[in-house]
Amino acid sequence: MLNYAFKRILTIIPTLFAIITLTFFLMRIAPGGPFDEERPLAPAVLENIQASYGLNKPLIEQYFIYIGNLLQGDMGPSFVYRDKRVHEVLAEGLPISITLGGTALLLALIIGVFLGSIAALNQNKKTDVFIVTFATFGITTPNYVIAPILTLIFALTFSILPATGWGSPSQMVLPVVSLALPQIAIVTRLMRGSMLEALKSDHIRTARAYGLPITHVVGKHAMRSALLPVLSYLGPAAAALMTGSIVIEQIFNLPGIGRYFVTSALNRDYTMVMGTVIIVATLVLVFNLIVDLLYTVLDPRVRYD
Amino acid sequence: MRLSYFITFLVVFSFWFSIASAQIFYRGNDGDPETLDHHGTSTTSEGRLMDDLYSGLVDFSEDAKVIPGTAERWDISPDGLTYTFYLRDDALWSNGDSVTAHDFVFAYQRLMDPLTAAKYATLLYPIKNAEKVNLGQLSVPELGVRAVDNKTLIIQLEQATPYFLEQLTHQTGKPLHQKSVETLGDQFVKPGNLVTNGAYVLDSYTLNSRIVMTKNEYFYDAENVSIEELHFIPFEDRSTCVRAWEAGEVHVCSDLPAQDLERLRVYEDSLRIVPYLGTYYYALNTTDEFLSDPEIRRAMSMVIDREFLSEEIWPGMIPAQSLVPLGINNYPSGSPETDYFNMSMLDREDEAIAIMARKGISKDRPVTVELMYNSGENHKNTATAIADMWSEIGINITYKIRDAAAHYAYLRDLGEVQVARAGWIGDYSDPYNFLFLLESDNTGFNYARYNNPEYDSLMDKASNELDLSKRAKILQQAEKMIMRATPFLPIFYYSSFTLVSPEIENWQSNVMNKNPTRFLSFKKSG
Amino acid sequence: MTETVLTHDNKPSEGVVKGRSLLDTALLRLKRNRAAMVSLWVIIGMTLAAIIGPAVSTHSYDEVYNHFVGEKPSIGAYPKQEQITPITERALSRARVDMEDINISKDNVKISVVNRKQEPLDPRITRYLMRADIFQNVSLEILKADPQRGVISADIKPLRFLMGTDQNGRDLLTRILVSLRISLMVGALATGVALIIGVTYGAVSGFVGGNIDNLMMRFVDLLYSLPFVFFVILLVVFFGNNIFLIFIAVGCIQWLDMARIVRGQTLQLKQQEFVQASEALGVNQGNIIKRHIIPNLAGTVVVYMTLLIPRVILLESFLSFLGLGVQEPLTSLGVLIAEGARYMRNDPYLLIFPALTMSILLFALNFLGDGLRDALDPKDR
Repeated sequence: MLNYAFKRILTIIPTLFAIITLTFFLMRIAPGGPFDEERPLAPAVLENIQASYGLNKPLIEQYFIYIGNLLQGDMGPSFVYRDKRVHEVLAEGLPISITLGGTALLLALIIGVFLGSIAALNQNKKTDVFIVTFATFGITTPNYVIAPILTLIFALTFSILPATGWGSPSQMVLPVVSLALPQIAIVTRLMRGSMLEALKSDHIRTARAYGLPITHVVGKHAMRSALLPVLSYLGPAAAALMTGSIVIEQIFNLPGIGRYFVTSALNRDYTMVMGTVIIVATLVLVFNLIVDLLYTVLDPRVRYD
Repeated sequence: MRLSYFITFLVVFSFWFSIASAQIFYRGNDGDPETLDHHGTSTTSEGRLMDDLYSGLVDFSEDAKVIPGTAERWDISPDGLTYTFYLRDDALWSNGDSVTAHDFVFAYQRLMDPLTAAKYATLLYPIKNAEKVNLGQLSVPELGVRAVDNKTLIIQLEQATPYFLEQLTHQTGKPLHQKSVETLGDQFVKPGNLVTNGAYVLDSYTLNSRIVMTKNEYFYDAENVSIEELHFIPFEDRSTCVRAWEAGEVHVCSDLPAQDLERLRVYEDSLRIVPYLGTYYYALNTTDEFLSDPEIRRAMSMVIDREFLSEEIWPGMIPAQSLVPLGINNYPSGSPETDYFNMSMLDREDEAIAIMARKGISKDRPVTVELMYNSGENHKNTATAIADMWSEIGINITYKIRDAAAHYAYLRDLGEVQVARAGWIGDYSDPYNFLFLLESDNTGFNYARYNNPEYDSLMDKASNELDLSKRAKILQQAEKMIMRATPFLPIFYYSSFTLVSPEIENWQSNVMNKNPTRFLSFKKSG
Repeated sequence: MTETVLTHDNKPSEGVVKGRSLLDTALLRLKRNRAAMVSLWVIIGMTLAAIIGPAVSTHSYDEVYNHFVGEKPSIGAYPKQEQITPITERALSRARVDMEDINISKDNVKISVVNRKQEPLDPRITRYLMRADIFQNVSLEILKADPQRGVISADIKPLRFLMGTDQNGRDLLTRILVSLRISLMVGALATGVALIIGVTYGAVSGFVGGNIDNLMMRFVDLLYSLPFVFFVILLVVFFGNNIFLIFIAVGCIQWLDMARIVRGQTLQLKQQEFVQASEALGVNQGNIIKRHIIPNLAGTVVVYMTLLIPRVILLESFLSFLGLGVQEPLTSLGVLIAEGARYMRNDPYLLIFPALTMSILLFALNFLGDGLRDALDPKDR
């Protein structure tokens, strides 16, 4: 197992490198550049700017310069936030996104697993129908609908919580809830499905036939295998949550990094695109590794040689 | 005894403290700046920051008139080519240094230096040799700006430019503290490093969260600056700003979403919708086979019911009847009238249908034209409504929608375009700033690829004319020419949309959409 | 609580007859599940509505009613009585004539007008009223004694907007029907592609295991980390704005989750006795995947599919927002909901109706999914 973990960690580096290379050349195929805006620049000025960022050099040379800087921990200057380097920009926002996403993830995991199990144990009863209904609404309703409604109720009508901003715990409530709701819904659905599955499996039936108490059977045996599909989902979902959400950040005016994933692509902020890709890639690789390792813990039958 | 002293102290202290902290002005802005180095800026939201941080030779008053800034007076030579500025003796930087003519020379030279790669260097091209310096054809010291002594600055121009003072109000005309820029390099913009000469000084800057400024005690007019602390809060989503405003978390929203305007009318005086110096238009590619016919272009313009668009589709915008917007300076009798705007909508439609019929095009025998716009709710609604109007004269529209970067790159690279959405906000208040868009050598902006030597020569003539009223007549002639040829099809004049808290006093909405914080104050309570 | 589950599980399936194929059994079981059957009919109904609805509707999805911009939903016909006067006034003011008197009966109006200029009335002014969407058979009778005055008579043309009109003055119901068509197509297309690639890939990867599994999963990781927005921008460059090609491509990205989940389950199944027994008996690997692995995966896959369809539909709205998805005047459910969210505080019905349509569709998909899972479950046979 340790051996396996070590091997996996080693494969992360070449994978990351392949991603960086692929993205670097891919993004340059897209039309438009970082300085194409509503107010176009005079051609002479554009040339000056491109030269100052080294964008006039051959692409392959730019690539090697970028990799060289990256190895020294420099992600280059942002074309949109010109006073800062890309890693400085990301370092400012990442802790906020991780706090938000992490809290939402935790909520989703706890509430989702709980609700899903309850629903499965009460299959086709009122509780089940209620939970499934809630979950379906959660999945159907996008963030950009939930978040303004919550703001309308709690911030504008009852003035209990602030509508925007970041800093105090009260400012975290609405964004975390809006972020967590769809995830709770998805985890609930997955959990309910896999728990039903698990309850039907032979060893659970056997355990119950022996008359073991239901809490014990569910808590100890069924839960283990039922969690597997949820984990498979949560690996990438965790990476997505922790890298922020542009919708939530815009609606609550939060200084997270979610916005950069979209704006950097739209602004052709090349260095920022690379920065965000590196962060996502690293998180995805790490979380997937964790999930795979958890598999072996939760289900002893799964082994890696 | 001791205890009561202590309590009294606490009470007094907390009272003082609550007053001090209550006076923070939360000002919503359209977004974060690209940089706080004003040579790298280009947007109006960045201009707002610079107007509070720096004082140029001339500044904007509370109603956006040009007033003396760091220069208390100036002389203009009779030929209009030499400007001599006399700086105030009490003009100081935020670290106590005196603001000298050398700081301005340094700033303007740096602006034009090709190595600075300033986005808006073109704005001060009227300065002698500026263009050549910026293109690297002349060395930097040859720029026509020099300091006679510490407090006297002479600027020489390439040709007489009647709107030069207005151009100097732009953020590119602001000075720089030479010493800190030279010693700190690109770090000079960081909080703690940035030395400014305006009403405020930078305190801190958190990306996507807030830019905090405090009153600059060295500012020459500091005694009249009322607001002590100022937070600029960037909002990427205008609806979010409206919610924050309604929740009392910001005092001002700098732009508003169109769909909320009706609802926001309940706030009466807080909702400000005023004309803004800009035009929203469709560019018609004059080199396109179908659109090369000026009569067809004219018919397409005639049939657009702009009143309907500005009443129902994009409330608050003003129906445009010319390329140059209303309320512009140096244009005493305004834009020339275009005949069909006096006709009834029906007559216009009939005439347009007749024109198209002569070309063999009608509702039953339509042609297909591609309309390109950048994604956005208002652009979409406007395009949909206009396509509906064009269908009456036999033009079927297909859409090509791109994100802004791709849209403008496509326009700039002169890709295959038929009709393209665009807009122009004036950098300074002069008709030339709009009419130059269609000069044939203006490759960057002339999306219509309009090429009319007659128009070019008129524009040249206007540039060399010193007499303002004669010049206005020439420009009018030029505008008349393009309104007839219709390479651009003006749709709206822009409006600025602002929400201002009733707690804020002296917010005078104006056509430049400029409201420097130094003139604002909190309403005295009680 | 316990008993129910047990009874449910142990109930002997009457439909199981020896020799009946997997599919027959599943269908039979599905038929007995009432919620699933109702859902199936709802989905069929919605699909039919999407296919023929726009053609049957009295409005066209791109027809703009300039006088009915952002109208509230109503069972009654437009124009409302109180709307007639303002609409008439506005139309007439464009004609530069003033209204002196208006007489509204149930389906007809008589308007006395006077020219603002000292000139006889232009008979063409009737066209202003005809253009006003609400009138038909407009006629003008100019007074002989005073040609500056006249009486216009017009029939009121009743229009129905059951769900109101949008911000451009288009019938919302018709637009929802069209959007349903697009969203269903997009959802089916992308999910189908994702399903085929994801299940095959995941099952193979999990079953084969070892270095090949490792390599295959690293490839999935690699695709995960690519910037999605850029990927789509590139697709638009290559394919133009063809939404269907784009969604086949979106399916090509969305299979990743499916592959991971399927792989996880396969790893687990591989250890189970019946699979190991088959292996020991020398059944070839392809057959094991087909006979044992995939049928046992059906439950999870179906549940995940019901999650994937809404996600694809919402993804489409995000792309449309960037101008890369469905193009005006066509629309999709996701686009309607996104627009509705913007107008939520002013015209809530613009959000409610599309959201309701989406919810019903997804509820039906869900219950059908659950039913299918139960029906396909080999353990329940």
